[in-house]
Amino acid sequence: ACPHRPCPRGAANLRSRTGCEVGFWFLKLVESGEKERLMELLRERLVECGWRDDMKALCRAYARKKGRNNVTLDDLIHVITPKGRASVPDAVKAELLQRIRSFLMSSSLW
Amino acid sequence: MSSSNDAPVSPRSQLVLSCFEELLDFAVADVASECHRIARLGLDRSVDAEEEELRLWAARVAGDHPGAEDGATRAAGGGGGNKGAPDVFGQTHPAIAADVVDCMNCGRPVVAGRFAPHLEKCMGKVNPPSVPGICYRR
Repeated sequence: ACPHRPCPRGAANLRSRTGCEVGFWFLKLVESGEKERLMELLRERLVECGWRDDMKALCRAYARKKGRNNVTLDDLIHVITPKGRASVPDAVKAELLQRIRSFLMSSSLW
Repeated sequence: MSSSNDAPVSPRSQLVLSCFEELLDFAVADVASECHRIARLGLDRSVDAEEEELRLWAARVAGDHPGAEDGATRAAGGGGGNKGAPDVFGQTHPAIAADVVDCMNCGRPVVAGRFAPHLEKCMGKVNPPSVPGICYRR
């Protein structure tokens, strides 16, 4: 596993991961534009299955509990990340993994 | 939902999985960012206020009209069908609206409650019965 996990802000931590293997291949995704395409697909699937609504409900409940003016972005990320990672449907995960694998295999460096 | 306790995976599969988890972290950050903005700007307050008003209105209507759940009285959505009953904002309106408005066709002041019949006649002057089918002003 990547030693830099968990990563509250992927973009900010990406720069620190350029030295490790995950960062290298993730940069390949970014440079080719595939990352944006994958993100678009992932967002679409997560909306369709209700995952996004569930996460928004969690955030809203937490904000009500802590107070709207006291909640920070880091708080919300830390609150919903474990549930978010665990509640992704297997079909969505499988589809994205297949897409990522196909892209990496098409790379001459793979 | 998502099973993370799988058998040992190959390094390449682990790499693919790590890339997926990176993408998922971006998705999580998107949702958290949007919800944070909504919470800090108080945009969800309007939703809460509307829900509260709906609850109060439903409770008030249920208290004022116990058992009056027929569709005829509720068909107008609380405005025209329930004359004198408070609307979703808690305001009570007279049976016939007494506001005076200016007709945009002829310019004459008309009582709002009689505006529709007035407009029907007012617009009808443009289309005399002797010339049916003509719907434009001369």
